[in-house]
Amino acid sequence: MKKACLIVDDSRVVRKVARRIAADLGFECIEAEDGDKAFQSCQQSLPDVVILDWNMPVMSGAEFLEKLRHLKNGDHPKVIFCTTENTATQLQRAIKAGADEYIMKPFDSEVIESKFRQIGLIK
Amino acid sequence: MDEVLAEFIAESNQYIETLERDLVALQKSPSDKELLENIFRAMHTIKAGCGFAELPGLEAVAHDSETILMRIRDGQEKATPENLSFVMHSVVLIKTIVQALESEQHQEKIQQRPVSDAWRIIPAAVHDLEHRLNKKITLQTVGGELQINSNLIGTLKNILIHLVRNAADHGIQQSGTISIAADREGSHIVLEVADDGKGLSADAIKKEAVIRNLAKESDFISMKDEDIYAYIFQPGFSTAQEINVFSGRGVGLDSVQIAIEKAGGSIKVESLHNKGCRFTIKIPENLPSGLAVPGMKATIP
Repeated sequence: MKKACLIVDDSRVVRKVARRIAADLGFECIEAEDGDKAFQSCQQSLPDVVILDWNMPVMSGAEFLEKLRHLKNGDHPKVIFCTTENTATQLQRAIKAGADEYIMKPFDSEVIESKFRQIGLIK
Repeated sequence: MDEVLAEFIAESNQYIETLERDLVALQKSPSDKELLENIFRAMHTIKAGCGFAELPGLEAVAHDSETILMRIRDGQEKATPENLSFVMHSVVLIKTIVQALESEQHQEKIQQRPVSDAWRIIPAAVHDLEHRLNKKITLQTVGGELQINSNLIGTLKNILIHLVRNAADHGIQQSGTISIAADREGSHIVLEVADDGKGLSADAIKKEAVIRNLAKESDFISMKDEDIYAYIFQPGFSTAQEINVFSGRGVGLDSVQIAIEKAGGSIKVESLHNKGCRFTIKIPENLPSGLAVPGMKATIP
């Protein structure tokens, strides 16, 4: 069975790029435009990895992550949090909240592939 | 047009509208936190999009405004008319550039043509080759409806004529099929030209490469067949006068490769002995407009 990747970002551009990359790496992709929709998706079925934007309307990345980790088996999904240089100060907070890795925008396939490899999602 | 850029244009248009509306509202009520947050997020999203759409200049414009908005949000600056006017100017600039990109995109759309235009001439050429070579050749084409940048049609046409003639001359024996297929793979156009003839002979290619001083016998020890086949693209590998001396190929394939590389693409060849051979060409779709591909003349057999 294909592993599932949940892409959470309010930008369609970012979702499109991330989806393309994750799909190429063999992942089944699900998209959510805010933390709330992402959480609903996780309640139905937990993905194997979440690519998570930090600054989103409705429910921020931090709130989503906290709620996710409180779900049953909510520690299963690897969470890669995604930031620009302006929010790099939030890195500490994100790791503390349970993020496994972070990437800077704009990311590319090489970056995502290497992060996926580092956290053991692909060989 | 790249899909990411198209998505960026659509998304930015939406956020530019938000920015214009909310900036006017913020001028009237400079302490409205929610408006400020909306504006910040819109600018932030446009900036991130610029990064992915590879527009560093525009990214810098959005970045400067984002910084000011962040400072206002964090209480380090006030929503003064000067600050808001700075952001407003950035929005106007972003809008102008996004509109320019959009009209460029529109023009590119008009300049799309079906890839089959590149092989319109091939049936007649094959017919002619059948007579000249006294062979029975069937032509098959797949994917002709694919819409591609019209700038590429000429380049593809020249490549096809060389490869089809090459297949007819050297691949097909008494009778056989030449097939052409086109597809899009990401930002590249992939073109395949295959025949069901006798395939490439690694031994003949090695022999020819040594004769032509392109390689030494010892170079071939433990070399994979596909690397041996690549010698057919070497300049001077084989010339038209000597096409019939061996079972390999090579009429002007070096010029095909040069033309493809100039267009930023690649070519590879695969062969199965007695089952034919297949050339696969990949060319980036967004060949800079007006870039001619020199080094090749269409020669209709």
